[in-house]
Amino acid sequence: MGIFKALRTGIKRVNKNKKMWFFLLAVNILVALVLTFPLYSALKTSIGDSLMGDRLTKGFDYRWYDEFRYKFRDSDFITYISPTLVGSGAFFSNVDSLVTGRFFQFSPTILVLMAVYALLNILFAGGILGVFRSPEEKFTIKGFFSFGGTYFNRFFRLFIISGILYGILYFLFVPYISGIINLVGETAASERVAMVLGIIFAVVMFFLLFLVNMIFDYAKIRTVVGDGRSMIVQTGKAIGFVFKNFGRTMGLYYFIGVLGIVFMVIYGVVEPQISQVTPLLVLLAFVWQQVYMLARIWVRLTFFSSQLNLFMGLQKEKKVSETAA
Amino acid sequence: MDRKLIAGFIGLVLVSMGAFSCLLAQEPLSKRIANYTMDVRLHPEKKLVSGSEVLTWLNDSEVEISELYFHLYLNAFKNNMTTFVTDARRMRPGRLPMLKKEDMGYTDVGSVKIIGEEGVEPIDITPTIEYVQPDDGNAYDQTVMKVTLPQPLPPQQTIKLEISFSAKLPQGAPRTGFRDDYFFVAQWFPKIGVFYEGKWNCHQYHTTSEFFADYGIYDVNLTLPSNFIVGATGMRRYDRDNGDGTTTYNYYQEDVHDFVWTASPHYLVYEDTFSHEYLPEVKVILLLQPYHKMFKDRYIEATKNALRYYGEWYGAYPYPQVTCVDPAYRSGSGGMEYPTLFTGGAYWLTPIELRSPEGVTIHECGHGWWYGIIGNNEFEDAWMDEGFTSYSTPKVMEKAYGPYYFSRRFLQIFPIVFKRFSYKPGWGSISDYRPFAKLDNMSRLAWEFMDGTSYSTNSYDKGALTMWTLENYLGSELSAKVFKTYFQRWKFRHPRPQDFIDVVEEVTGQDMSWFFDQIVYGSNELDYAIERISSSPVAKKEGYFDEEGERTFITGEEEGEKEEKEEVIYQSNVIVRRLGEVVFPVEVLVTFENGEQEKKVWDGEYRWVRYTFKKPSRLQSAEVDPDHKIFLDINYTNNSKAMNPRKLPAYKWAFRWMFWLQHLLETCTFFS
Repeated sequence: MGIFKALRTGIKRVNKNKKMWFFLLAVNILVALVLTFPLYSALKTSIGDSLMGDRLTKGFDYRWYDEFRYKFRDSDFITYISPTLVGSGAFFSNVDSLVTGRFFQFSPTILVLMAVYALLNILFAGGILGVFRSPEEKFTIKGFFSFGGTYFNRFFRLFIISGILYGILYFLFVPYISGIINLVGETAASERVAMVLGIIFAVVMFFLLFLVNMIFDYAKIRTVVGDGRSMIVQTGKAIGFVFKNFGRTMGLYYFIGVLGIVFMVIYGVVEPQISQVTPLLVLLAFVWQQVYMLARIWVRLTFFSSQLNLFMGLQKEKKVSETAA
Repeated sequence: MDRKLIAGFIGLVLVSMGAFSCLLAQEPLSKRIANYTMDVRLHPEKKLVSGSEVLTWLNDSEVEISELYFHLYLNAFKNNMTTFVTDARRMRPGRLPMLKKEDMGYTDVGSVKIIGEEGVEPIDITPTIEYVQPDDGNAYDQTVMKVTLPQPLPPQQTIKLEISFSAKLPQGAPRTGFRDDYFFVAQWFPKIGVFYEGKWNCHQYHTTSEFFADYGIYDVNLTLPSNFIVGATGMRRYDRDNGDGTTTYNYYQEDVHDFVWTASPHYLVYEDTFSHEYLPEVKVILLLQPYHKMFKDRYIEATKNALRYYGEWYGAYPYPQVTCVDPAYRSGSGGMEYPTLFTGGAYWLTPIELRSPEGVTIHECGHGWWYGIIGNNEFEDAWMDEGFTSYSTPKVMEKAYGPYYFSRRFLQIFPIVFKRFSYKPGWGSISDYRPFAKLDNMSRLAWEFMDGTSYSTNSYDKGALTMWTLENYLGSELSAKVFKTYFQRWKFRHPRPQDFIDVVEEVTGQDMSWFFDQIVYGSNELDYAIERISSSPVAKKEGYFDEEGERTFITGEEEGEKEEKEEVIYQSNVIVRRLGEVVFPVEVLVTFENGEQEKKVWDGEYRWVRYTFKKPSRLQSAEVDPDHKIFLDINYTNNSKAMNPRKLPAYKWAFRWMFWLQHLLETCTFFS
């Protein structure tokens, strides 16, 4: 099984389940709204009846932004608003947090919401893989939750195991490497040394994070395909699988990752063109944001679907060669 | 002797004499009170500068002086009990210099001798050396030295002292010191204090204070290994290979109040010339770190922009040369100003949209005017140079480069500029000032602010906001005249705040004490707001009315019918409030739906004012300080109200933020 065949059939399967995309998007929107409402209320209070409303409709006003942040400086997540989070800024901010683990410094409210969403998605991961593995490969709410429930316990255990590995990366590896970079930076002849080391660190961190992520994707896939019970065994076997088929597993993973970046670039190029000076244009920008989120969800589903194909295809090849032998 | 040689010699003598007489005829720019001739040597391996200085000092006061006070700034880094370090612990806990034994700095004075006329034996007054602590009595602090003269120095008399000293340079200390083979030698020699206002003004070195000195001539010989590239205050007159692997460089500058120099084997040296329609030509020298080669043009361009705009606005740069130094990484010497030499600061991967090194270059070069030429007391009136420079810098930045942009560094490395979100360079100051508006007033001594942030906020940010507000209040033409007059009048002298205030009042012909008393000597907030607006048709007559001797009963319906035939008149009310304690005259702009506008001027004295209008059009909006002249106003959003406010921005920004959150949540699925 080649990676492009796995990807092609994977995409076909994802495209067959459009309802699943929209369901996942709806959940994402609903969870995000939990904090968007208080933020909206704070924005409304801040702008109030002021003519600042006119200025902010036409463009941006630093004075308001600065005053808003000061006014709500003690209000937890409200001050997270920043022009640097707009458009592709969201991508850069979040990827930055992913690599450096900076999201652990977020406000408790945001951390709780992130934890809830992560838990929900443990449930959904079972649903997604269950649907993709089922003979009909068709999404129904009942079937989705039924699969989700079936695998939740096991996927939760995988979440704990992967959490230990991520914990090692974020709480041991990152501070250790940062310490080294700082130390080298202190004695270096120029800032360039620390920056180059920072780039190397980011590349290594990306690689390790993606590797762990991929291993646990395959651990989930193994669990669903083989109805495995011991998550430690599944993790071990997933590691074996990934390293045995390193080129193909990595190739597939990074190829889909690149697709995600392409979507981000398209979003980032178009978004600033929507001027958002009328309600219709604001709505259009919102819709465009959701189109991107849908694309992002599609990428996530494509990861599962294609990796499932690759796993099953390689297993099949293995059996065939074993039978032939 | 060859005839040609003799003729040449005579010619040279004549030219020299001519030049000399021209020099004599030229009026000195400053009073030249403290004049130094120095001969020093750098010992790179010991991180030491040793040598001697001959100080010729004029008692410009009207009293006899029997003691002389000197700054020994480097002693601030001698131990952990100095005033500088204890101040740092208190004022800026996060920025405490970490000094190891080999990193410590100090100045040892070997001897102090009074030099008399030729043939007369110098008088050794070394035994009278005493360390004094005029600010805090901290016995561990040796940053001020006092010597006693055998006989008092009469007024308008000059004394000549020969002082031998060695200066161990610190590492990791602010503004001065070494890093590997990079040397930035500042605050390094025994420097006489300023005798003015009837006493010695020679403060100890504090973590938040800078410097103060008299103008004079510096004639300095620097000897160091020949592989070093050197930059210094003033013009290099000659260099001499000593034949022992060292070279001696002579630097000379008149009418400056400090001397700084730097040396490194790695500098790249670039020279350029600033020329202008009517300003004098200035040679621009850039000493650049090799790893910052890509910033060469940007440094030079920024320096030229500073020379141009400061020159046009305040007065010509009076020296023939300016040196811009790109400091070594982590040297602690970046972003500092000295006469005719300043340090910038650059960071790899910084596009021009991030305004660095442009911002720091223009700021520090600008100090050439506000500190270098206007020699205010930085210990006591820090806002007079930092505030003026922080006010002038954004003006130059805006003229030369346009707005500032929001930006972030992806992975703390790669810059991303958000060009959609720009702002005026001058607006940034209010963010820092707002939280500290009521904490201190800006006229305090530098070390008496509550903490380091309050010091910098009041000196830099509030100083800048004050000048912006003054400029807008006076109007650009009048304010330009104020600043130009102040600069021209006080150049090469030591103005106090009152001197600036006097100039403002003289040029404007107004009593401006209400402004300066509140802003410079006060610590209250300035905040005006539109409290309420309303607009409705004028009430119909209803009830009994005694008109023309008869009592009639008018019903609302009758009145309504009458009004239908006539134009509807609306009564609009606007209430403006003063929320802060600072009283400032403000403009109030009222706009009606038919496009008509009315501008009122309120003296702002009472807590609020109501304006009532009867117009054939409904009120649309009201705004206090519509042109945003008052930069000190801590809340600009509350300055206006609209009858039909726009709700769209709240949705727009909520959706934008929601997208970030949605994206973040999706990023979380990475772990599940």
